[in-house]
Amino acid sequence: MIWWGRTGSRPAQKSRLRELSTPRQILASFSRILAVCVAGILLGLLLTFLAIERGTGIGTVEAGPWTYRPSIGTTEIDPYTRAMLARSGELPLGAAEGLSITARGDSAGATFDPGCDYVVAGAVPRARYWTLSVHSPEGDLVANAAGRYGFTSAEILRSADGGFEIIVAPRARPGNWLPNGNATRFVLVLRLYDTELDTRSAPLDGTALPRITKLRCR
Amino acid sequence: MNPTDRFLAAALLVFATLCVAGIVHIVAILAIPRLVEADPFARLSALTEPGRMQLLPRPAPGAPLPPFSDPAVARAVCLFDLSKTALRLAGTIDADRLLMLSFRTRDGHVFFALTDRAAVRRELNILVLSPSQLEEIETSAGTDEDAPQELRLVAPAVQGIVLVDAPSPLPGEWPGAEERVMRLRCEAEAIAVE
Repeated sequence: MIWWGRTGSRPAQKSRLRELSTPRQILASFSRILAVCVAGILLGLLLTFLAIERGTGIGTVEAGPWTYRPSIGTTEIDPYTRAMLARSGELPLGAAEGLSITARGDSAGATFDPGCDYVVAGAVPRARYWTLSVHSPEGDLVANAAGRYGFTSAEILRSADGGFEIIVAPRARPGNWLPNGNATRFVLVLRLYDTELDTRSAPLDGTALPRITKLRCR
Repeated sequence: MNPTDRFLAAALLVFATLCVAGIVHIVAILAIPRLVEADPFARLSALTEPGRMQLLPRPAPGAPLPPFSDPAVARAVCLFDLSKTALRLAGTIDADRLLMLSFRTRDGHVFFALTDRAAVRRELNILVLSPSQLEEIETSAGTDEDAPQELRLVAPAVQGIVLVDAPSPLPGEWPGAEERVMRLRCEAEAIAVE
């Protein structure tokens, strides 16, 4: 590298300038600049892909296995959420309508395995109405023979103490069975309608949301 | 080149690469919304036209709906184009039955939303306007006593989307939820702008 050389005497500098001007040196410098540009572009695009497609990162808040974007239904929407919505075409809930939160894995931190059964149980923040549904990561409903795509707060079977358990499994289970069909990948979406939560001033805590526990795998 | 020079040269290359990556990342994030071929307004225009309430299909696998549509919520859409007319949304709603309205720009971002709790004596009456249309109404209006009981909403863009959502808590209540979202009238309203 010529421009990182130590400062020398004038004759030495002239000599190095002559070195730099040789075709080989010019080609080497050009190659380095090209490599930096190509590597930078690829890295920048990879970062963009991860930020947009994985649904995590800047603009996302994690609460246990659940994630949400506080700015998504507001006029102060952040550029990452704006890009994510433009890419997906999703029409999210407005902040005054409610909050949508997504789980891509269980409470132990593992991504959902379609070969396993999961139980969703615990508290749900106060809301006038809530729903829990299974989607592909792209947002499609997951086809299944039972024709059930989710549960609502009104139809769910509860225990004597008011608690509930929803079993997410490909095969029928007693109780609140939410089939995930033959999906190779799936996510759970919990929507809290007309909730008093203000997640911009007070971020949700994972303990305020249902736990997701892996039961058994085939 | 001694080891220090080599290290500094490598560090410079890494730093330059990270700078380029950061610039590309920021430019890409900001450019994506502009590069999308069909925004939500364009997609919904295939189903309806501005100034008309249109019931969307019931969510099901493969249905032509926006991703992550709630399978337990009936939805109607009304597009607006304020270049020539304003848009009026009005109707009587059920007491204590959740109904949600969201007003969006053509790329789907919410600029205003409300629920049935905002209704006055079960009546919703909302006029969506451009800034010039609002100015025209205010200058031509008489006394405050003559003013209708309406919510005037200035849209940040000429074109946009209004979504009306009603939950169906039980599967058998779906027809009722569809009826509730379609009960609201959505129509273009002429406002003379000088």
